[in-house]
This record gives sequence, C-alpha cells and structure tokens, in this order.
Amino acid sequence: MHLTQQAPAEPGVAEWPVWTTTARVVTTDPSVVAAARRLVEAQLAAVDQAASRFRPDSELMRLAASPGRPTEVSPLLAELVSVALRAAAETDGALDPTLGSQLSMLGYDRYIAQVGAAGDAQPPVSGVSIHPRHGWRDIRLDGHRLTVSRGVVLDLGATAKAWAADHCAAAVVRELGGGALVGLGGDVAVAGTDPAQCWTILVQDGYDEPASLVTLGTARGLATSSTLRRSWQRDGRRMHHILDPRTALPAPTVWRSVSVAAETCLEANIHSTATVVRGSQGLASLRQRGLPCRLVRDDGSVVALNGWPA
Amino acid sequence: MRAESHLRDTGQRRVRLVTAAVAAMGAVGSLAVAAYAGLAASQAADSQDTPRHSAASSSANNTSAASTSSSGRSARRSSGSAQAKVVRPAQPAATPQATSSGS
Repeated sequence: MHLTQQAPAEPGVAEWPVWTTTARVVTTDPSVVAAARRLVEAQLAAVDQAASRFRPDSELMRLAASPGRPTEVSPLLAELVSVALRAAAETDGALDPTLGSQLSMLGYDRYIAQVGAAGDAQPPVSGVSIHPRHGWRDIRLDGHRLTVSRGVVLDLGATAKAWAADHCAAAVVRELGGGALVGLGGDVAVAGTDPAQCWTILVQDGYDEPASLVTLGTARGLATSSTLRRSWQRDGRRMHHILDPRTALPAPTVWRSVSVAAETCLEANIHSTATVVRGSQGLASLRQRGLPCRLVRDDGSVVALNGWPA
Repeated sequence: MRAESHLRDTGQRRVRLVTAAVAAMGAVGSLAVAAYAGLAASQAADSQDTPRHSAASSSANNTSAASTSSSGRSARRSSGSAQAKVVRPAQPAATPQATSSGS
C-alpha cells in the first residue's frame, strides 16, 4: 500500500471593489470561496444600507429627519452605534461618532473618489462653522431606540468597517466551515482554522511605503489607520478623514499610518485610529495596552512596539 | 491584696506586651509577604513584558520611546517571544494572503 502525501490545497481567493476600497475573502477550502463571497457581499450590503453617510436612503441618514426624538432603529444599526459608543468610551473620546457633519463641511460628503473635484468648490475651511457641536455623550441609545441631537450626522466609518470584517469572517466560518480571512482595505479579520502557513499579511500603506510581512499568531484582527488614504485638497490645504474631536479638523499628521494587531479587528482599529488622533501622545496608550503595533512617522521612519516584528 | 493586685497588673502588662509583640511580628510578616508578592509580580512582569513594565519605560518623546523599545527587546529576550505569539515575522518568501494598507 502506498501512502502519498498531498500538498495542502491553495486557499480560495475572491476580491472586488467596495466602499472605495477592496474587499478580499480568502478561504482555506477553495471550493467554498464563491459562497463565502456571496455571504460577505450580503453582510456588507446590510451594513451599507444601515450606516452609509453617502446614501440618502440609508437608515442613518433618515435619522436626520427626526432629530432630538427617540427613533426605533434596526438591530444592525443599534449594534453599530453601540460599538461606536463603546469605542468612544474606551478611547476617552478620541474616536467620536458624531463628526459626520464636520466631515461633510470639510468636503467629505460623498464617496472619496468623488470628493476631489467638489472639495475646492466649497467654502474655505476658515469659514466652516464647527462650534458649538454635540459629542458622543449626547447620543442616547436605549435598546433599539436611538436619539441623535439636531444637526448631528453620525459617522460610523471608524468602527463599522472593522466590525464588518470581524462579523463577515465569523459568518463565513459558521456557514461554510474551515478558516476564513476577510480584508476591507486596512481592516483584516480571520476566523476558524489557520492555513498551513498561518495567515500572512503584508502591512504596507502604498507601494513606496515601508513594508512589514507578518503572520498572525493569536491575533485575529489587524488594522491599519492612515492619513495618506481618503485624503483630498480643500482651500489649498490637504485634508484627511481622521478628525481630532477637539478641533473637528483632520488630526495633525504625526503618524502616516498606525497598524495594530489584536484579538479582533474592531479592537485593533479602535486603537490604530485613536493613535492617529492622539499623535505622539498615543504611544503611551499603546504601550500600556501591550498591543503589538507598528507606526510610521510622517518622515517615513518606523516604530515597532509590544512584540511587533522589527 | 496589694501583692495580688500587683501580680494581676504585672500579668496583664505581660499579656499586653506579648500581644503587642505578636502583632508587631504579624505586621513584619505581612510586610515580608507583601514584599515577596511584589517581587514575584515584578519578576512576572519582567518575563512577560507586560504593559506595566512597558509603561515604566515609556516616554512621550517619540525618539526615546522607539529607542527604549529597541533596547528593551535586547535586554529582555524572553519578553519578545511571549508577545510574538500574537504577531510573528513571516518567512521572507511567504506569499501574503492579504494586505493591510490603511483606510
């Protein structure tokens, strides 16, 4: 009797554009990758319908029609708002989901690919009224009843995409078995069994940027927040999408990008984004939490902390 | 009567002295236990490169924070291996399954 050792099958891969970035699904069993893509597409469509700032028919934008009143929202939107509020509390407000109006006033009121041309036609930044404004503590969520103050547009982008990556990866494994990776731009989540060589991720914020090739051990999520992406010109100034809630303006670019590995992609994203907002002060918080992380300074030099491979 | 009273007073003083001595020994013992526990916790922190240990060597200054990190790795070789289980360096020839490119 002959025993032949078969090489493990190559993982299945599907990739497509979504939310002005690229969605990528990888399954350890290549025969299920098409079904996995359908599952992920359905989940992302549901998140988009619930929480998009760029669709007038989204549940989030329809909230603006009933400011100051408790409104019954879908379980999905309630969950996404709840996650955003937890992130705000955990970061002491460095992540604030009430900055949607400010982002719109700065020109980011449509898909980023469409922002460039329209941005310069808007009033100068100095003329943008940003105060007084409400903060995350003014949002009321009681079960599925959500109350948002007049003039507030929620922006759940910081957390919703990472949450979606986690939930999509979990859903693929739950429905199809095996192991799965779901990547949505900078947000990468894995679930189920690892492939033979473990999940290998290239962390690189653009072709000319410094790169780091890592495999995920116990981490199930990895997120990179960047001031290079989703940026546009406005009034002769370069804008990016990560606002500092204290100024309601783009956070000063101390870090070009921050990558964090954590138990979930959501946790990783919360701390990568908060570090961009906090600038140099963010290092102490990352050290204290002990999350492996990699930061690229504005001059291109790299800081690796808490066990991130040098 | 006076002798009995004297003996009783003396006995009570002795009891108080002995009680105070035992209490003092107990306090010393507690301090020793606390010191030992502190030492053990410190050693555990050293071996795991816990956030507490990292915070002690942290700095608001980027440059010094980075150099602290680098020297910390070389000084506490075992600390890196504990954290490396979360993220590990990949083989240079490995093909990545995904790119985390910022968004």
